[in-house]
Amino acid sequence: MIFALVKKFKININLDDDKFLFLISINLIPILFIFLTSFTMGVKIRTMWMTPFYISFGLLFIYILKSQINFEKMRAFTSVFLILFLLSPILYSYVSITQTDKRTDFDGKTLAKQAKVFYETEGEDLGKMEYIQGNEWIAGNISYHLTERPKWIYSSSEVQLCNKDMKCIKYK
Amino acid sequence: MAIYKKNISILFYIFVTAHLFIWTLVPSLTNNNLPLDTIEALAWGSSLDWGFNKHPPMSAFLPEIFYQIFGPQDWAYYLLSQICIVVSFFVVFKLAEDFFDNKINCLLSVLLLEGIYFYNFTTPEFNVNVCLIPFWSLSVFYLWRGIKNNKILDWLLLGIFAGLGFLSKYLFIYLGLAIDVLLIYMIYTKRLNLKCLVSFVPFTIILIPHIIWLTENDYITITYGLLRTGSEEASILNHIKHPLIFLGKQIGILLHFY
Repeated sequence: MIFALVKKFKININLDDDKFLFLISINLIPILFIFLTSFTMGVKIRTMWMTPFYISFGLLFIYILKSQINFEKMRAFTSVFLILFLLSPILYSYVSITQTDKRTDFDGKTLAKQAKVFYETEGEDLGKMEYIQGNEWIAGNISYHLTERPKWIYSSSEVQLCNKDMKCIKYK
Repeated sequence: MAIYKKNISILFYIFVTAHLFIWTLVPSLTNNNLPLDTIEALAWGSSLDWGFNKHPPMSAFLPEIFYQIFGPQDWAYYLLSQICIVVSFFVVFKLAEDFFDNKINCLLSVLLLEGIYFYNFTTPEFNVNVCLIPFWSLSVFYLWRGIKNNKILDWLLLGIFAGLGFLSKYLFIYLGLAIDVLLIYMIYTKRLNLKCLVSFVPFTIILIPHIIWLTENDYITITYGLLRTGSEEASILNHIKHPLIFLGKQIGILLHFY
């Protein structure tokens, strides 16, 4: 996108410029520090962790290259922008529809209905379901989809459905 | 000139509205279930606390507010994600107005972000990373306002948003360090006085409940964070391999941006 916008890629650096110093500091110092963390500690930096780091990158690059922006090339930039803007949701839809074994294909609603029926039959003396124990995905889905919304409590082993006194029945 | 500036602003609002609408609608129509991280945040939200086994509490607070309003309607949580993104775009646009006379440069500063997949493709999954973006950008905005105007209110807002950023994800510490380096340099070169230190007051107040929770819970979130880095697999080769992989990935992420 940048190359579709500028005449030539020439960077002017002026450290006396407060705006430049500010943009360099808030954009590059965090990335430098995270790189140093990986280097000194020998640790993995997961891709998604970088999500917020680039939010001001557009501003930084436009500021550095502002004198080289060719407004006659705006049509080329608009084309590239529109392609990317439309391609991403199309690609997302394609992946979402064609791949059928993702987390987002899970039938949480049915699972929650089944859990409710199970609780009402097996634990009819327990009263209202107030808590659910289990992992974030299974117990979390049941909690989210049920209208009574039992409070979730972490457990790495089994899923338990509980009343307000924490009397529980094992579900899964 | 005023009409031209107004037109650019209109274009910006068309862009953010389209972004919000498309990225709320597409996952709502094509997904059968909310993604893992969003379900996890909602599970935490069902029993709110000042921290959870993996993260500080902000990513649970926001979906819980939405749950109280909308209940179990998936589109609401896709909308929440997009609100975080659009707020950040708006903040970058407003910040850019201080940097450029030509308003089209402000618009370009935001439009370029569509070239980074963190701000489109991955946004439907509300999680700690998405939750962090608006607080990150608001901290940057009020840091600049503080440097420019040196008003107490701007420094206090910097402290508030930095605190909320830290409560979203500890990774905010990297921006925090960058802010500290810049402020120390500016104080040292006498471009700024010590008024900026007032930002530590709201920052600390906001963090106190979480710090208390953390000490009562054996620093569980910090242990989890360290485990996610793979730090238990100690090897000298990791000091070269992981930074190189990191650099390679950053080039890949920014490919469309360039």
